[in-house]
Amino acid sequence: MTGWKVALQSFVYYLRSNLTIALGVAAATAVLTGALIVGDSMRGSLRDLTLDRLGQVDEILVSDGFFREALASELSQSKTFQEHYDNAIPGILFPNGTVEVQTAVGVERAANVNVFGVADDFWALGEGLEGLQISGREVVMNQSLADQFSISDDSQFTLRIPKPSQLPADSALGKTRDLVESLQRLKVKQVVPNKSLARFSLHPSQAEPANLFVPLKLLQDSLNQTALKFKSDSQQVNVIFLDGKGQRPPKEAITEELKKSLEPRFDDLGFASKDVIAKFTSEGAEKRAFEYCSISSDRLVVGDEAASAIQKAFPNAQPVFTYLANDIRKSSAESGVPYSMIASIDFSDQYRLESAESGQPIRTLNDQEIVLNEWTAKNLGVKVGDSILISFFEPETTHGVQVESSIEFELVDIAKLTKPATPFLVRRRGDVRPAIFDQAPTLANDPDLTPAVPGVTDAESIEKWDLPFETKNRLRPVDDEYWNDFRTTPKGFISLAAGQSAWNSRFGKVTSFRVAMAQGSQEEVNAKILSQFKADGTDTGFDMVPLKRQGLLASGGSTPFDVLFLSLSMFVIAAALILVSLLFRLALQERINQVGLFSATGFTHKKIVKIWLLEAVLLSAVGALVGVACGVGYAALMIWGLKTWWVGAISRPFLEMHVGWISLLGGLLSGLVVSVATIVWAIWRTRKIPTHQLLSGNIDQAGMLKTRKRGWLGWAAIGMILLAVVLAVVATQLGGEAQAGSFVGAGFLILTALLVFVWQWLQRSKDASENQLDLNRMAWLSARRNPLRSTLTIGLVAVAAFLIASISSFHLSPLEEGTAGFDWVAESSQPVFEDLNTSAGQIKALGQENQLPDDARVLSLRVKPGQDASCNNLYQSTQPRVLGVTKQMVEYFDNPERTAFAFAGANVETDEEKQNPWRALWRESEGSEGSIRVLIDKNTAWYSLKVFMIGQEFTVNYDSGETVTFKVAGFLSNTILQGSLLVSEENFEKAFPNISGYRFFLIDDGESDSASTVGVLEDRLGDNGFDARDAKAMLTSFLAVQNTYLSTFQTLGALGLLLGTFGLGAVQIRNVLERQREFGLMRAVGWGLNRLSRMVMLETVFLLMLGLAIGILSALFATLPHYFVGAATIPVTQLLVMFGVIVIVGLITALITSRVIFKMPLLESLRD
Amino acid sequence: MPDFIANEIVKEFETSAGPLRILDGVNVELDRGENLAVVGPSGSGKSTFLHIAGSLDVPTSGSVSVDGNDPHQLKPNELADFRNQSIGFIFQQHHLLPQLSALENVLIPVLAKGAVDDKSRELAKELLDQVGLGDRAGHRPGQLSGGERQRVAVARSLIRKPLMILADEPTGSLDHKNALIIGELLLKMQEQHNTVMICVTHSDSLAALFQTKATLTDGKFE
Repeated sequence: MTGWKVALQSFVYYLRSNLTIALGVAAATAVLTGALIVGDSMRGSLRDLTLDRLGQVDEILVSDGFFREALASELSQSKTFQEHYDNAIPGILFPNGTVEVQTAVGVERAANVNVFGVADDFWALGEGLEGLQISGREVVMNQSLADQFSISDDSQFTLRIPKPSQLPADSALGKTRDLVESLQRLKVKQVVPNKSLARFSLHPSQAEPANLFVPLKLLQDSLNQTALKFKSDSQQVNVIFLDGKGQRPPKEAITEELKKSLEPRFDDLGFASKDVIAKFTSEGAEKRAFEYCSISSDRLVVGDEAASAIQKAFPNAQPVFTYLANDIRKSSAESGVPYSMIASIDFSDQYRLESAESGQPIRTLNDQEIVLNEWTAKNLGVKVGDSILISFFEPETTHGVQVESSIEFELVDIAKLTKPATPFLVRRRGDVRPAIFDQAPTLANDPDLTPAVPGVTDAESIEKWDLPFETKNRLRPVDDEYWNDFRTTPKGFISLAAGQSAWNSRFGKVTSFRVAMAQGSQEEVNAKILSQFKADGTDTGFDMVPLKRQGLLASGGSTPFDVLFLSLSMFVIAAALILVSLLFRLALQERINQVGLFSATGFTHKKIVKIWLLEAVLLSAVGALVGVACGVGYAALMIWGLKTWWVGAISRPFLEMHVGWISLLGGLLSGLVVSVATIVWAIWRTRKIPTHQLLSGNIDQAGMLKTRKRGWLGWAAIGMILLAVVLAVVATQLGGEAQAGSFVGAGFLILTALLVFVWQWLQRSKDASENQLDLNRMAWLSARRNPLRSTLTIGLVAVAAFLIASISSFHLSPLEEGTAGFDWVAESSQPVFEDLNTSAGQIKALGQENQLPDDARVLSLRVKPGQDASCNNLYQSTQPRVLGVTKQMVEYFDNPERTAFAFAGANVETDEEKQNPWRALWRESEGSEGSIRVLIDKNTAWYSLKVFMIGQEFTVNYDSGETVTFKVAGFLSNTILQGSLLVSEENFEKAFPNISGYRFFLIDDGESDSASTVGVLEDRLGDNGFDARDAKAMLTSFLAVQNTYLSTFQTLGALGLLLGTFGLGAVQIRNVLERQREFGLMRAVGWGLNRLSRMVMLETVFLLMLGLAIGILSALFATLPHYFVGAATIPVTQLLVMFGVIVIVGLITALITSRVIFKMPLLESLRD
Repeated sequence: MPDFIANEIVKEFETSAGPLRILDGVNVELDRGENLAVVGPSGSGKSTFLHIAGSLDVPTSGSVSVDGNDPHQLKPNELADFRNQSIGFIFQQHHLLPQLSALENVLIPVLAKGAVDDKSRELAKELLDQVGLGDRAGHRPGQLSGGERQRVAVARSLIRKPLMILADEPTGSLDHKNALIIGELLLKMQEQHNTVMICVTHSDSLAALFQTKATLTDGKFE
């Protein structure tokens, strides 16, 4: 005989009782397993969604400009590609298109549409659409885009996409209007379901993207006529879809290797090199006056990083910074020469202009000196020593508003300029034939010091310059003459430092480099620079985006759903374990004398526990195995719930069941361990009970539920009530979660105090004289037979009822602080540059006839596109969207009378910051060098970004190449700004210099008719894809996620309470069986079965109702103040239904309990 | 020095009306081979005395010595060892484990110290033979009569060859005939195994079989 054998025989002998306990174990295990499976399912479904969404596309190669389509085939020749990749499919991608259709009721518009220009081979990368062909003006749209329109078969669409612009719109010459390319009369060939590539998206999200697929050729042809017409190769693309070999996406090292093997041409990177050869014909022979190779960027300025690499490749290369002066005049004069190029270049032995007066080389200039060419000096009537005033627009603009500045220089010399024999000629096909010289042009005769600006440098006359500002009124005939003879030849020269000091911007401070021809041929120069770029790792705008790897990583989810559901199911698990404990204790009570016997015969307590432990393991194993099977069903129920009742928590019903072996095993072991621990704890508690009492066989007498009177407890309970009142008063002064938490804390104190009173009442009643004895009294007396057990039972029901009811105080309703009083939140596909709060801005953006009401306010924010980090996105967000907050917005909130966004906390120092925490964004970050202060919605920070503290730093690596370290300056609380990082506009421009304009808008209608304000904006900015959403509805949708989780918690809490009710029934049944002899006696003295049964039922109902009453009373204390301060919405109907069901189930349980008496044989009851 | 000494045992219980003294200076000395029947009215403290003698309860004052050791001074594990080795209990409610056979029930004290070996098993069978249940070894308590269950309990009490057997109303739930049989069996086994025996009983006829009969009244032996 061994301990195992005793345990096994005991298990079999007490099979019925053990199976009852095992059922409790099964319930706990099922909930544990179910929660883990929900986590599996969430991750699995997100993973499936990622794989389906991307098809065979593992990575994409993107560029911020356009490059040759042939680069894809060149890339596929590389060794890395051959080894690790199957396909490289070029295409065009615009993630912010706008699609319009004219219907009978007006224009229907969908903004933020992903527009893909693809050839037929693209479809082979996905499943189900292989062989799909589109040509001409045919397009394919996915179902979620089609759902936004009421289209018919013959509907014709207009697609609006951003016109690729070389010049940043925020630069002085950057255009802020006419930035949209329109493709009209598009016909939908097919609407494809949201599957596979039809829902291709760059950002991981379970939301279905709106996608439009357009023939690649159609997009190329359209762009070639406008934005890309200066490209040497007509087949331009901006993305290559890469399909790796095998099922798994290529590893990071392979991706890096492939990127290194990319061999773009110079023009693929947006750079141009030009052999500048100044020729003239003398005595019938063509001669060269000077020659060099000019390196420039099609973005007008060369970025600092690239400039540094070029300088490194050619240390003797001369940087040039040419800028447009609005006016050059003698300081004292009233007029001057309009619209002239000023070149800032250091004179040296390589480059020295010739003085028109002395014929000598002009000395090197200091930063206050200027040299004008002959034509300009003559035109202005100036002489050496005169003061020259140069006026120009600031290099960066805000809201597209040009700000003019001026600098005075001293004219130190006049450069010789040779007039051409034949002026420049703009040919019909648009190209420019250079001027023809019969005398040697001077170094000052160099129009190539000015980089090519489409629409300007190729214009026929100055009048036809395509500039973002008006030039016409200031121009004179002589200016056209200069244009004809010299075109972009600079009229003035200053030192490089002087130019860079005046015109330096975030876009760069060099417009071109002069490289001596002796350095090599144009190809050799290009190759050397490309090689330097590669060696330095210069950001060339090309980026490999490992979409599949990122997506699979992000499918781990922003929220660990297994942990979440474990937390949400906490009460069910607790109820199941309490049930296990109660049932086991009852079983133990029946066998308590066995513990006594073991003890009396010399078993140590450890040994006794060991024997019971073995039995506990057996019954827990049976329960846990059954529980695992039930857990799969429980998870299926939860997933069904998430797809139906609680779909608000996951945005859309995409979840599918995924069962992982680890979860099953984890659930089994967890269920086993917690159940065994619960049982062992129950048996362990018998260690202090004297053996002779154990032998007596009565657990009550044995003291397992021994109650001792503790006078101090009453005082403690009174203290708790006082504390609860104080806490409730303090809570009225708090806000947000602190307030809700305080109210719930106060309610819990009340609950605990009430339970203490009940316990003492049950004890005290024993000593009280009882004159009346009726059925109720009998039930009451029975209930207080064991005060502690009854109090625990009441407590179980009370705590569950309290949790279910009080959690409703966390249900959030949209508050004014969530929207800061804004009525609308709008986003646009294309940036809007104008300040919509000024009359000038409105006229420019909306037209003369479409002014907004005076009291309407539109706050514009800059947008760095990124992943949605709000609670609506279940994927882990690694590259969240960034919004640049303008000073205008900060000043808006300086007004204390305006409703401000709610803050959960902020690092504020000055009084100004305390009054308006937005000001903290402008304070210099005291963290790591270069870190940017950021405000984030607290939920976004905690749950999506895993950032928990104010002052915490975190770094984000954007696929577009930027690496930004953010330092948390504060947390917003439940606002419409959820899902984004908010930084100052100043820091935004530093971090994302290439992003211009504003794409996010907060709109306050003022007192006006809201429809008209937003109607005008949506109508007039329709080309920009301006799309407004009701701010309150948006906030409600954010809050819906949290509220849905609370509902889930409440529902699962109700399930736990239901389980508790069953537990109560089980305990009562055992209680009745325990009192068999007592009932036998009562029947012997004349009690009828019905009367006895009624007494037992009353006892159960008494415990249930007292528990519910205490729970609800405490919950009311916790919830009502929160409700009255307006922060809570109480789902009354839901609560009534829940408690109604619980009362009904409780009554049924009580009835079943009471019917047990009918099965008790009278004589045996009396005998035993 | 006697094998068992109870010296000035006092036992009090706290009540709302003040301490209630159950035992008031009880003295007993017994050697191996000696036996004592303790009689007295209900509530006289017979069982309390027996529990203290068997180390199941602790005296308020006074001491107990078994084979020269005071069990109440032992640590919990030592006390468990002591009970296992030195004392055999027999209760009115035989406290047999219904899930085990008669033989296995006899072996329970052996199991307290590890797995049951063949020697113990043989001893258990022998004891069952001695109590007249050699042919019922495989039967479970539910298949045995009240008298037979108590015989199993007697055999169980002897399996560790204890110094002392303590019986608490061993015949209380038996009819007169069975009570007499069990009484005689107890004494026979005590003599055969040369132990000390203390038996608490209401039954004068049982008490009459013992060498010494002591009546406990108001917490003292008369």
